[in-house]
Amino acid sequence: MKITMTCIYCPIGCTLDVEIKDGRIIVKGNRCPKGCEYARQEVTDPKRIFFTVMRVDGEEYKVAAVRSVAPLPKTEIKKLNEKFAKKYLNKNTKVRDKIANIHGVDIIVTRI
Amino acid sequence: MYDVVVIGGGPAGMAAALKARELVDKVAIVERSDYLGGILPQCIHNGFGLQYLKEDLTGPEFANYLAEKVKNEDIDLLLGEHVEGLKKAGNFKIQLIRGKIESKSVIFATGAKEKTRYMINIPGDRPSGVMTAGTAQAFLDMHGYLPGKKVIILGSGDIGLITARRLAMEGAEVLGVYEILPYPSGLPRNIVQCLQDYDIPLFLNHTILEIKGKKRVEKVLVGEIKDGEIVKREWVDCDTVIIAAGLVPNNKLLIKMGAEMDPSTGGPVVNEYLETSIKGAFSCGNSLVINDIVDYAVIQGEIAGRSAALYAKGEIQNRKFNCIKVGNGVKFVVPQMVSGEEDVELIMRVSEPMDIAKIRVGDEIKTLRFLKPNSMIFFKLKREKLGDAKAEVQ
Ligand SMILES: Cc1cc2nc3c(=O)[nH]c(=O)nc-3n(C[C@H](O)[C@H](O)[C@H](O)COP(=O)(O)OP(=O)(O)OC[C@H]3O[C@@H](n4cnc5c(N)ncnc54)[C@H](O)[C@@H]3O)c2cc1C
Repeated sequence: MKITMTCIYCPIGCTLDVEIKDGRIIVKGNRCPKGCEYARQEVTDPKRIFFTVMRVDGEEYKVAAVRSVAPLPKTEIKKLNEKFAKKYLNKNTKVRDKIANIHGVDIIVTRI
Repeated sequence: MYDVVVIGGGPAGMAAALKARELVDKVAIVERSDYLGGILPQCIHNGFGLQYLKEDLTGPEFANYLAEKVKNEDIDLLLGEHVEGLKKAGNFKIQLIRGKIESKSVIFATGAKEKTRYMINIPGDRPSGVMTAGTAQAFLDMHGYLPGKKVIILGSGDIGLITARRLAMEGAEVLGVYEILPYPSGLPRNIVQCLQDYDIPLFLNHTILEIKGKKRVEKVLVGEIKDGEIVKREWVDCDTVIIAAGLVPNNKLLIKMGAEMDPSTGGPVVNEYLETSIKGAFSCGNSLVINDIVDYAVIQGEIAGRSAALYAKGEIQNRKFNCIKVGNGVKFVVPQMVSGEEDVELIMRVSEPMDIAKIRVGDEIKTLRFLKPNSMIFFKLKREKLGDAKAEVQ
């Protein structure tokens, strides 16, 4: 099976030709090793960085921003969004604080 | 008396102040909002700093990286302060809301403004629900309010694509991204991770012709354009129209001072020190030229910071500059003037997409592939190769 995809690792956006043959994944068109890594991940288990905003205790017009430190399964991003929309952050939380852990990946505060 | 005053505390301004502070003692940043970072704090997605920091950060984190450095240095921060006017009388006399300051040199790092509905002339009613991408982003990601439920986005630049994804993520129905050009303006990675990931359709050769609605947007007339003619029209029901039609450099102050401007960039004409036609006044970041990514804005900030500090110390000699002539296929070149006494890196954009092209500047020819008007080209030019100082696609 052959698939053409765009690498999303950096702004260059290499066009990758990916061939899956006898269980092996062959990647062509990548300008750096990250492209190969991305293509393998994308055909087996696509992942994305998760980011969203969260309400802060006692704040009406200000939200905090959070993200996952590593990519998480793409299919779970929407569910995670809904989950985090219902949670409130403690007022004393600081930037870089870990506020949750999903499948071994930390969720950190990026702005509060 | 300051050596260097930086106007604007975004990434370009912070980088400029940090660089200047390495060379001179008295540096200040004037920023009109009450925090540093410019537009970055509201861009909560990742994709910032891959080149400059070799790390994939979100906007707030990238801003924080610079802001922490600035706060650790002896740099005066005049936040919540606005430059109302400035005059050059030997030194620069800068009028703020709360008093006057004086400086040997100034750096303009005032960023850009978004084009509004009125700047691109969309006729129709004037209901609520029509806003720029930056406003939608501020509603959602600074204040926590979803600005609409059934949304149409005008413009397929990165900002339009990123806003489309963010709204879809939070449960809005994004009906489509409409782009008047035959190709998307945003990066391929954003077509994938913003549109394809969320099944948002992209309509090329399309634009919005009219907006209808009494109190709130009710529907818009979209049109398909071929060879400059409208070939199809259709009403689409929606409650929100997001304008992501591009940015315009914000140079009100420089224009008032009479600096020479470049109509093709919207920024001032500068030399390789990023000095404007007003001696001692420098420019960087999105007020100089709309940059694809923050990393470039920061690099320009560093150049302007160094130059302004050297100027304050009286170490920039008077040089003669040649004007770079813009030829066939090239939209603009920055800097517009070079002395030919130092190697420079020119920033250019081509006027249309090209699979492969030979770009010539002076006596230097480079063959480049997959050129698009929306990605900046960096062209290193050795001083002895300046030649006829013309930039063109051959
Ligand atoms: C929605 C969106 C998404 C983006 N995504 C990415 C991305 O994924 N990756 C990436 O690398 N880049 C991205 N960018 C681009 C990046 O944000 C810009 O390149 C960068 O912010 C430009 O920096 P700047 O310092 O020139 O301008 P700005 O960040 O706009 O800062 C200008 C500052 O000047 C201040 N100012 C203006 N006039 C005055 C005055 N008269 N007195 C005092 N202060 C003044 C303003 O308040 C502001 O703080 C994105 C931009 C947007 C809008």
